[in-house]
Amino acid sequence: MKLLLFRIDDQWFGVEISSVVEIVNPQKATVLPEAPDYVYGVINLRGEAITIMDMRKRLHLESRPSKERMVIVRIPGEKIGLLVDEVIGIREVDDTRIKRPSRLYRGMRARFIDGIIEEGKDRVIIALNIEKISSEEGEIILKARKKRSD
Amino acid sequence: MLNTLRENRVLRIFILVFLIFLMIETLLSVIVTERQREMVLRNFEDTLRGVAVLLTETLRENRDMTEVEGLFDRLLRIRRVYSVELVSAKGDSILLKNKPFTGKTLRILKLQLGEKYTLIVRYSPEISGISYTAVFIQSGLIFVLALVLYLLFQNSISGPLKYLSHLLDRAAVGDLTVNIPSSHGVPVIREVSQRSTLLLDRLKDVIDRLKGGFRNIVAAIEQLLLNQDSLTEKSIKEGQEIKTLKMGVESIDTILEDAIDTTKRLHGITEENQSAILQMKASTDEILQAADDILRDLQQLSMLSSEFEENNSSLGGLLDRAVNSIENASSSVEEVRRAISEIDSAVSKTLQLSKDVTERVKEDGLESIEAITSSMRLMEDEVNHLQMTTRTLERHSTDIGEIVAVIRDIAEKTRLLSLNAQILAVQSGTEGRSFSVVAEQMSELAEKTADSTNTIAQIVADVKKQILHTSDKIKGVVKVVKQTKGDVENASEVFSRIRSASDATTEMVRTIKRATAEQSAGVSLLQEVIENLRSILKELQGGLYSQIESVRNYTSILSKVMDSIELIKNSTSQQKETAGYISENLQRSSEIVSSLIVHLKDDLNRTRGLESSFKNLAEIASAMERDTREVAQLMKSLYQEAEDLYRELQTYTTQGLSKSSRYSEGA
Repeated sequence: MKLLLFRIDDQWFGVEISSVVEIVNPQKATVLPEAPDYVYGVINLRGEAITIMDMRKRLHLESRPSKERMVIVRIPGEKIGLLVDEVIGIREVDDTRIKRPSRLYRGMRARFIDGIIEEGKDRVIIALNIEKISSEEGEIILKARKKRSD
Repeated sequence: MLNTLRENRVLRIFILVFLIFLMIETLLSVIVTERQREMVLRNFEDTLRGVAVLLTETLRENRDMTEVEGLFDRLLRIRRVYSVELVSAKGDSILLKNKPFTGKTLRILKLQLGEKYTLIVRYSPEISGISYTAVFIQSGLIFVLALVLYLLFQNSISGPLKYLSHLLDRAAVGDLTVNIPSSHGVPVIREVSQRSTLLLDRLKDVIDRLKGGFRNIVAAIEQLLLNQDSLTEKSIKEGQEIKTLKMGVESIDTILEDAIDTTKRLHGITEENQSAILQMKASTDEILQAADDILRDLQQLSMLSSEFEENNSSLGGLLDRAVNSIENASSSVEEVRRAISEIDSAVSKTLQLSKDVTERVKEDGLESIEAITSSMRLMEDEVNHLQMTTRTLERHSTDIGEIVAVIRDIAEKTRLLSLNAQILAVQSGTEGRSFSVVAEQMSELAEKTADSTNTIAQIVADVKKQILHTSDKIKGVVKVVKQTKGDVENASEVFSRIRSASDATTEMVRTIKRATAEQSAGVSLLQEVIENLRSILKELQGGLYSQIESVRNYTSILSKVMDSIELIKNSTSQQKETAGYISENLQRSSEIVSSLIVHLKDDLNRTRGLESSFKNLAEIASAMERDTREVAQLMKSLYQEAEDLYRELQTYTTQGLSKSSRYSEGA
């Protein structure tokens, strides 16, 4: 499986490359009224209006942008953009390395996670289920991250 | 008497019951008498047994027969006993005594006297005082008494009642002229007779009235029947006409139904055609949609490719710019190097001059001040030049920094581009594999560029620092030179100071020379790095151009594919248009057929309405006909009935008289 890796704060996340449309530099977005605060706004990408979700706000992580990017992904019915701190790159991951997340992985409900991949000795990549994350209305908080930052 | 018995049922029953009673009574009397006789005879036989016991004792004790004879005589004295005999065991008669027998039957009683003798007694079972004749006479008397009572009863009640009944019978068969006497018999019968007379009078009156009424009814019915016949004829005729009309309407109805059926089938076929066309249209739409999707994807791909190409072109431009910038940088560095060499030579000269000054101060003293002053001027010029060159160097370093930033930006863009190219390659599947290789190379190049750029940035930063350092030093030199010059121009007594200053200058210049040498080394390194960068960029440029070429090929193939799809789309659109045209025509024809059906249905409904009206009319007519017939029938039967009744009444009253006379005769 090929994953596009990106970073928010110092946590690495992955989305399956087949759902990724493209990566673009941050663009000026039109703010949507009465939208949740994690909705960054709407951008016009070659004549197509795409809603951008600020993943840092969505996952309640601190923002540490270095090379901020917008990852355009395809979910059933539309395309949405994910505002991330940095795009790490594309990584071929053997399916056997992808572990099922425990019911509560760092406070994040398991249904938002497609799998967990251990990278090296102390890094973990969370393969996100963007469809679930974008359709869920409630808050998704990475509590462990918060604790560590406290 | 016999007649009375034949006619009077009650009497018959009474006599029968009475006779049965008499029979039962007689029978019971006979049974009781017989029982009494049996009892008397049993007592008699018991007595005889007692005598037998006595005789047995006598025979055992005494063989003398006289005593036995005496006993026999005594037995014969009993009125009922006729013979007494003593018989031995062998059957021989030992002693027999009897008296003359006058009765009807005799009974024999054998009694065993011990083991040797048997006593046989013959006696009459008749019993005096018990007679059956008395019983029968008693019954006969009772019967006669009953008969006498009955005759008495008949004469006082039954006679007048029978007469009354006879008169009423005559009235019942129609003779209403009977006169019932009301002075015979007991009072109850007289009352009944009076009431019967009253009833007969009323009946006469009612029958007379009925007769009149019926005569009128019969006449009216006769008239009605005449009218009814003509009415029935008329209604039958009307009914037939209505039936003919109804049949005509029904045939129209059938024709219309056939027409509707045919039209409906036509409509159905049209609709099927239309649905087929719609399906075709839908399929065409799907094809068009699919073509559009493919086209859109291809356009996007083409756009991405174009963008990629454009990006690559812009990247090419950027790279060209970068190469130019590198060239510029290289030339700037060259200039820097040259400037540094100049500085170096200037410094060398300064050093030489400084040495000379020192020498001259040492050797020539004041005479040399003029020369020193001129040398100082020269030195000042040189230092100014040096400062200017340093500033240029500083500017160039800043330029290099900017160039590095541009290169870094380019590297970032290249990376982004390579990432998108990789995403595109992954999504294109097997076709995108070659593309993927290019994308990965691009990514690697971008990485390398980024690394080199970072190194360059670091070196440039170092060089800048060094330049700043040198610049500071030069500023110091300028200050010192200016001061020295002032000193030299102002006074000669400061020769020693000049000397020391000159020494300091020499020392400072030496430091500068060292710094310049360091700078020169740094610049050489920079030159080397720039050279490296230049080769990388060239490589990148080369790779990029070939990539652009392949992307161009890809794009041209894509546009060919897109052209083909466009062609498919156009032909599909034409097909769709044709289908639409056909569908439109079908729609129009369907509409016409629908309106036809509606009209036909209207017609049919109207005809049906007409038909149902006719049907109703026919029904009404036939009902009327039926009713009329029924009425006629009823009237006929009524007429018949009335006539019959009238006739009946007539005969009743006329025949009643003759019957009555016959009755009277019979009576």
